[in-house]
Parts: sequence; structure tokens; C-alpha cells
Amino acid sequence: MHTRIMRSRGGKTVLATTCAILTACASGVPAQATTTKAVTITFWNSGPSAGINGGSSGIPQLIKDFNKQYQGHYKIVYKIIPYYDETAVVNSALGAHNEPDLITESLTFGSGYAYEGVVEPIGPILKMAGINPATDFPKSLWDASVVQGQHYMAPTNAIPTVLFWNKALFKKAGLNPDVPPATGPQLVADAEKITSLGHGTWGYVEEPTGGGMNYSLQSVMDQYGAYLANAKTGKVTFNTPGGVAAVQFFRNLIFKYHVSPPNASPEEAHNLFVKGEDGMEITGSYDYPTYHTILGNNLGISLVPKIGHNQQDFLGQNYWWVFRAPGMNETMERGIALFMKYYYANSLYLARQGFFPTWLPLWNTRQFKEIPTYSLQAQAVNDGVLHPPIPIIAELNHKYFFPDIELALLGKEPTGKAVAAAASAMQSAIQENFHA
Amino acid sequence: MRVGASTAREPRQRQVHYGHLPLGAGSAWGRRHRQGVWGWLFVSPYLLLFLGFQAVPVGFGLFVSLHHWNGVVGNQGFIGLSQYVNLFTDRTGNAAGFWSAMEHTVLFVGISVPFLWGVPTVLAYLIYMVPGKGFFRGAIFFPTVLSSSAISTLWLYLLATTGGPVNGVLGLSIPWLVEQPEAWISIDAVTIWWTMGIALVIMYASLTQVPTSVLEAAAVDGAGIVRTFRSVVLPQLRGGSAVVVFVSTIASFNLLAQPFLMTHGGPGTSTYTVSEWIYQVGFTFFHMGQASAMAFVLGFIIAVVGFVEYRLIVGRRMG
Amino acid sequence: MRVSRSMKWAVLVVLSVVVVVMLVPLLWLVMGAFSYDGTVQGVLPLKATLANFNFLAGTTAGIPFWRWLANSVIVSGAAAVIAVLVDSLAAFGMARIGFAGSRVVFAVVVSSLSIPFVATLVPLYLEMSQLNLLNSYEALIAPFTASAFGVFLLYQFFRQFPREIEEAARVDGAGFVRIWWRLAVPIAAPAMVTLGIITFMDAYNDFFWPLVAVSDTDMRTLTVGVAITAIGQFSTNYGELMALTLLSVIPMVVVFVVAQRRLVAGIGTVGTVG
Repeated sequence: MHTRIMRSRGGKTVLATTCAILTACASGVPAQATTTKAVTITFWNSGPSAGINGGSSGIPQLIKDFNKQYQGHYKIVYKIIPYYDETAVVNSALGAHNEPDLITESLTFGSGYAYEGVVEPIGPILKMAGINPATDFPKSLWDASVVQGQHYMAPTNAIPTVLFWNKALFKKAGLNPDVPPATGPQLVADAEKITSLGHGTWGYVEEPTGGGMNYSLQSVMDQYGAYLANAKTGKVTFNTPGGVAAVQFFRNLIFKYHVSPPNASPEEAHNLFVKGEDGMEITGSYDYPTYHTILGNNLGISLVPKIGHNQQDFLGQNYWWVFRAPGMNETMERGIALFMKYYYANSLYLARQGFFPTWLPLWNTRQFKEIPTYSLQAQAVNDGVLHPPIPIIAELNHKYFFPDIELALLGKEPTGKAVAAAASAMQSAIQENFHA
Repeated sequence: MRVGASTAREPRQRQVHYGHLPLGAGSAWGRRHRQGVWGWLFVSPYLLLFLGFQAVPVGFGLFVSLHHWNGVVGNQGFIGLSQYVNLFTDRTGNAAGFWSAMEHTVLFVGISVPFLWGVPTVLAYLIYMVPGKGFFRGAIFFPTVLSSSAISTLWLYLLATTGGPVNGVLGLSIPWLVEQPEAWISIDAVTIWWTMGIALVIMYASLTQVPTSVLEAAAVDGAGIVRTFRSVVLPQLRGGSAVVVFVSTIASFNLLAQPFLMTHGGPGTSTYTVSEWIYQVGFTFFHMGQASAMAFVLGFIIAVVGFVEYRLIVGRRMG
Repeated sequence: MRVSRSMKWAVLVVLSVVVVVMLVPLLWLVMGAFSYDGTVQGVLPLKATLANFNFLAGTTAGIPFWRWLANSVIVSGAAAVIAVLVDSLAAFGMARIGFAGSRVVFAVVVSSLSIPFVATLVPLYLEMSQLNLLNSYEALIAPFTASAFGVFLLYQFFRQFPREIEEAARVDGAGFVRIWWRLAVPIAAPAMVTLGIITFMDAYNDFFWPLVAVSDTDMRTLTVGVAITAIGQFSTNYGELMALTLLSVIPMVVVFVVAQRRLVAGIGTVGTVG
């Protein structure tokens, strides 16, 4: 009888021990073989990481090379954090005083942390690296990232908004396949011709719900000067005739000109464009690799048509900044500066891996111009407008701006009323979460 | 003598819910005292784990909800019930978001639970009538093994308005994910597709417990399929129904993945759910005190709804 | 119950339609997994590719598939074993041994079924944080080990245990543990196996808690891994997502195929209780 009990209890012990061993193996970070001098810098990234060849190309390769070059002095420990819950992950780390030294995320998060006072000013570090931000970064990216009068973040890559079109459909509709529309009326005219082809073909598909028009709508609103908000004053600034006109343009595509299907579901514009049933799409350049693979030479790409008053477009981006992590000292800062310099110096490599560079010196080189679409994107970045550096502005945008705008795009509410309602919702949301 | 005593007690013992040993066998007090110790020993691993990972967190959650608790910085001060008061009085911000999400969630519970019970029950009855029961049950059960994120993105694709296969087959352009009430119908239908296997199995098992004599009697009376179902079978399914309704209610209140991935909360904010909101408040905005308070209010509402449902279905009879 | 032949055929047709509706979407899952960007034209992939499965090579940064699979299997397996042991001990204690307050304990167990998970999410997270157990297997396993459902299920089984056998064993001088291990467990074995399978399934498919408890990519479970791959910063790679999903359900499919009868019977007993 006792043996039976022993065995059952023993079994439990074995199980517990196994779990413990597995846990220790799994969660224990392998000890780094470091010399006494090598300083470890933790670097987290929620933006793009892998290069064209997937896996370990792109940023991981860059880091490997850096670590080799600076062996014995500095070692970057790299971690990719999934975009899905990056805020929760980083906040947990901050709470546990486990935050990384260097991190790349979108501007909207950086501004939040800067306001909380957990970020180092980046000016001194850039200086250590010999980087002159005024001449080395695009103005649109550097000037727009000021938080309370200071710079805390530097741009790592940019995703401008562009116009994609299907050359085969253009040809079929009797349009010149190499000439995209450059104004609002031209876009409408081209779209009408394509839609008249019938058989489920549309000139321009937009998805009213799901926040899918983040890039396109924001671009046109910026073109009308109806910027989302002012970070210095904390005031919403899009409730203007220009803002209404921007929303109205997209609403008309559905209900007046009938070049866009009503009620397209989230992601549908993308799917229809890929299938060749959508003539044009205004969206971020991140879609280029997918579209290019499927449409090949039938893919056209150009600047966003000037639908509003100015040639502008919405910029997606990633920035990096340095946390005031425990153990942060001048040696570490120097190491980070070295790594930043290394990163920017290898911009051409990263550019070829699909990361649109924010390093101005590279833009003028022949190699840069040879990379397909990059000259165009450079133009778009120069005309680019970011979301204001207000904490979690992107989330607020999704939850408080779009719901009302969607009603206008679904034809359920007059445009003017919807824009005013969105402005008021955004204003109180900004007020609750942020104090200029 | 022991055998005799237990025989005499047997019929009564079978009605007793808890297996107490017969009185008067051996030294009653000593025996029960020793049993008591053993009983507690057996239950202790469970109780420890239960206390540690379910009871204590609930208590701790209550504690947290009475404080200003920032996830990054920690406890920032006792504020008593003001978090709860704020939840009920604040017309803007996170509190308003909570109630708005609650509204949508309650709506979802209201329209989905009847179908989450009704469809599987009818199907169980149909399966009962035909051969190939194992096959049908298995096929209907299969989707339950998929993850919530998988089915959500799958149906996001299938229900696309213009390019989606469902609309393609129907030859229509129904805005499944874009307008109300189609959006709620879609989320409902997808949830049923995904989870009804479990309810089906429970109701089917319940059905097999219905004594065939009762069914025979009904047949002799000339009752048709539908009559038999309504008047004879349904009343016998109270137990299984209670379980299904209860579990479906809780699962529906916890709805997160489907609206998040299929409609992105739209159109407007009509498909934002309360679980997602609590997660956002707690883990993105990191107001853990507020999130705890919201979770408690949600828990209270679920308990009340569950209690009402149980009473309605089962009545006062102890299940 | 007499069912006419024509009625039987009608019902079979209806059920077959239902089966088609249940299973056809999965065809798209398979097709999408082999298509670039997950786009399917009609039934076939728009641009067929095997690239979506590249993560299997283990070099895709951010998708450590094998690690995720291992985590899921280890956590679910451990949870299942522990839950079965703990629950059967507790159920036996309440059903056969009886002790002062067992009624209260039982009531508490049953009522705990109604605690919404969301209520324990935040405090459990804070608790694990204090115990320094975040990002660990323990944190992932712990919430599944004390299953009220399991106790409830096994309690019914142990209740129906014939008293004579127990009395006979006691005459032989067996203590409670021996009775439990040698007699009760073998009789309740089908239910215990079922409970184990259900717990495995629950732990494997769990989303919310692993999302919150683990932030280290290497320690994620497969179910969460699928979701975090679903939403990229700028766009979603649907093909990769479908491929990942397809592979992630294979363990569950295996469990399902092997244990279908048991599973169905086990869940069914819940219905027979009322």
C-alpha cells in the first residue's frame, strides 16, 4: 500500500520537478559570454524587423554585425515585441523596472512616455553619434516629434501614403495606364470609366468602417489643412470646412459618383485591389511588396492626388528613443549612440531590405534612387504629415474619431454634423488623457 | 452487523447528496472526526489552489478597485468606493466607454444565448432521429477546436461584402460586417458556428436520458415529431438546458475576439465589448484600479443574470 | 419514437446541409494557407505559395512556431494532469468521506463557476507579478489546476460508487487513499480521462490569460501567438496567419479524433446531472 502512495506522490514530484526544470530552461536567459568590459544594451522593436529574405536578414543581421564589430565593448540584445499588445508589454516592463534601454515604436507611444518623464532627451545622444538632426533627418519627421519643447525621439523608418493603381484596368477602360490622376476631379473621372467596365469592377474601393481609411482620409484632411490636433495647445483642429470637404469627397465616391461600393467591409479594398477588381487605392506604401508580387508590372504607384489645397499625405513611421532604464549611464549612452550611427550608416542596406530610410544623406545617392519607388516615396515623405505627438493619439483616433466619421461615410449622418461630433469626442478624450 | 446496518439504510442513503457514513457504526464521534481530517486532507490541494488562484485574486481585486492603482507605478492611494461611484456617475471617458461597451455586450448576450441554446437543441433532436449520429455530432463539434483568432479572421474573409465567398454564393451584397443589424447577426452566427458543438453534445446527452417509455407513450398518443418535442422532450431537458444557458451566458459576456477582428468594433462603436474595454483600461491605459472596479461590476451583473436564468429554467428544484 | 422514412430522409438532408456549412469554411482556411496574402479566387489560391509556412524553419523572427507549440503542449498537459489529480482527490473527499463543512465547500465550488474570468484577470496578474511568476509556465498552468467543473463532474461519479465495495475494502483495512487510488479512480477513469482532455483543450485554446501573463515572445502559447501574428503594425499577412492557424489546430484535431467518443460522453454527463 505504501509503495502505491509513494508512486503517486512520487509521480507528482517528478512532474513538479520536470516543470521546474523546463521553466528554468525556458525562462532563463542564456548567460552571455561577456568579457568584463562589454556593456549590454537591450533593444526592443515593435516595428518591422525582418528583411526581404525573412528570418535573420534586416535588423537582426545588422545587430549581429554590430556586435561582431564592437565585440568586447558593446553587445546589443535584441527583442521583437509583437505590435498586437506592445503597450501592455512595455508598460509591464516599466512597472517591473525591466524596461529596455533602447526601443523602436511608433511616435504615438513615444510621446506618451516622454510626457511621463521616463525618456532621455535624445539631443545629447545624437550629438555623441555625430548626427546633425536638422540636416540628417527629413524636416517633416524631425520637426513634428517635439514634446514639450524637447526632442526625445529620432525617426528610424517612414511609411508615406501613396496612390496605387491597376494599369491593366486603366488600359481596359481606355485610360493611359502610365498617367495616374493628379487631382480630385481626375480621380473621379478615371474611377467612373473603370466602374463602367461592369462585372464587379470598381474604380476606387473604400471601406467606411473598421478604421481602414486611416491613411487615405487623414491624407486628404491634411491636404485641406484640417490637421488632427495641435500638440502644443491640445486642441482639435479638423472641424473646419476643409475637414468637412475631405470627408465629403470620400462620401461622394460612394453615394454621388458610385465608383465605390457602399458597405465595403474591413480590409476589402485591399482584397479587391489584389484580385484586380479595384482600379485604385490610396493607402500606405507598406502594401507595395504584396501588390508588387501579385500584380507585377500592372502595378502603378504615385503620389496621392492633390484633392485638397496642398500636396500632403499622412505619414506612418517608427521612432526610437532611450528609456531612463536602471543602469543607464554615459557608457551605455555612448554605446547607444554608436549603434544609432551604425544603423544610419547602413541605411542603404536596410533600404534594400525594404525599410524606407529616414537618413537624408542617403536620399541623394544614385543607389538610393535606383531602388524602385524610393524616389517617389522620398517626395511623399517630404510632404508628409504625422499625427501630433499627443500620447496614445492613434488609439484615441480609432475610438473617438472614426466612429462618428463612419456614420457620414455610411450615409447615415450629414457630413458636417459627423465631423463636429467627432471633433467634440476627440476633444474630450484628449482632455481626459493628456494635459498640454 | 455492519452489513445489516448499511442494508437497512441503503434506500435512504441513495437520496442523500453527500456521502456521510452511517451513524452508529463504530465510535461515531471518533470515526467522523477521523473522517473529517481525511476529508479535509483530500480536499486541501484543491482548496489551496482554488484559494490561491481564484479566491484570493477576487479579494485582492476588490482591494485594488478601492485604490488608485497604476500598473507602472503601483499603489497610489486609497480612494474607497469613489472608483465605483465614478463608474456610475461619470458621463465621459473610460466610465462612459465601459457602459457603452456593456450595452453592446448585453445586447449580444440577449440575442445570442437563445440561439446558442435553441439551435443545438433542435439539432440534437434531429440527430436523435437518424442514423450516423456519431458523424453528425463530430462534424458539428469540429469547429470548437479552432482558436478564436483563427475563426475570426477566417470569417472576416468569408463575409466580405463585395469579394467574399458567402456573398458570392448568395449572389447578393449583404453588408455582413459593416452595418447593423447585419454585424451583430454575423458575429452571432459565427459564434454559434464555432461553439455550438459543445452545447449540442450536452443537449444530446440530456436527450438520451429521456426515458424511451415516455417517448413511446407519446407516439402511441399519436403525437407528431413537433408535438413530442415541445410537450414531452423539452421539459425533460431542463438540467442540460440550464447548463448550456449558463455557460453560454458567461462566454457571451466574455466576447472579445470576434468583434475585435471581424468588425474592428464597428460600425461606429456598436460592437465594442466590455471585456475588451476592461483589458484596454487595465493593460493599455494601465488604470488597474478602475479596471478592477469595472470587472467587479461586470461580475456582479453576470451573477445576477445567471441566477435569474437558473431560476427561470430549473425553478426551485436543486440541480 | 416512430419516425417515418420520408421524415428521416428530410432530416438527413437538413443535417447534411448543416455539416456542409460547418466544414466548408475550413476548406478556405486550407486554401488560404497556401495562397500569397491569403487571398483566394473562387476556391483556389490567387497565387499559390508555400512561403507562408516558412516559419516552420524556425528562422522567422517573431514567430518561433516550435517553441510556441512546445509551450502550449507542456502547459496544457501539465494543467490537465494536475487538474485531474487535484479534482479527483477533492471530489472523492466530498463524495465519499464527508466532513464537517463539506456542504459549504461544495456550494462554494459550484458558485465559483460563475466568477467571470475578467474579474480575476487584473488581480491574478498583479499577484503573479508580486510572486515574480510572470512569463513562467507556472503562471500559465496555475489557473487551470483547480477546476470547479472537474470537481463537479467527478463528484457525480464518485457519488454513484457502490458502497458495498468500499465497505469490503475497509474490512480489509484499506485507508481512504488506497480506496481512492485502487477503487475509485479506476471506476471513474473514463470521466477522469475526459476531464483531462477537456482541461487540455481549455488550456490549449485559452487566450486572455496567456496574453496577459506572458509578454516574452518565446514563452507565448500557440493560441496567443496566432493572434499576435494576425495584427501587424501596418498590414496583416493573412496567408501566414492561415498557415499558422492550420498548423496550430493540429494537436487539437489529433486529440479530437482520438478522444471524440470520450470527449462527447464526458461533456454529455454534464447534461445528465440536472
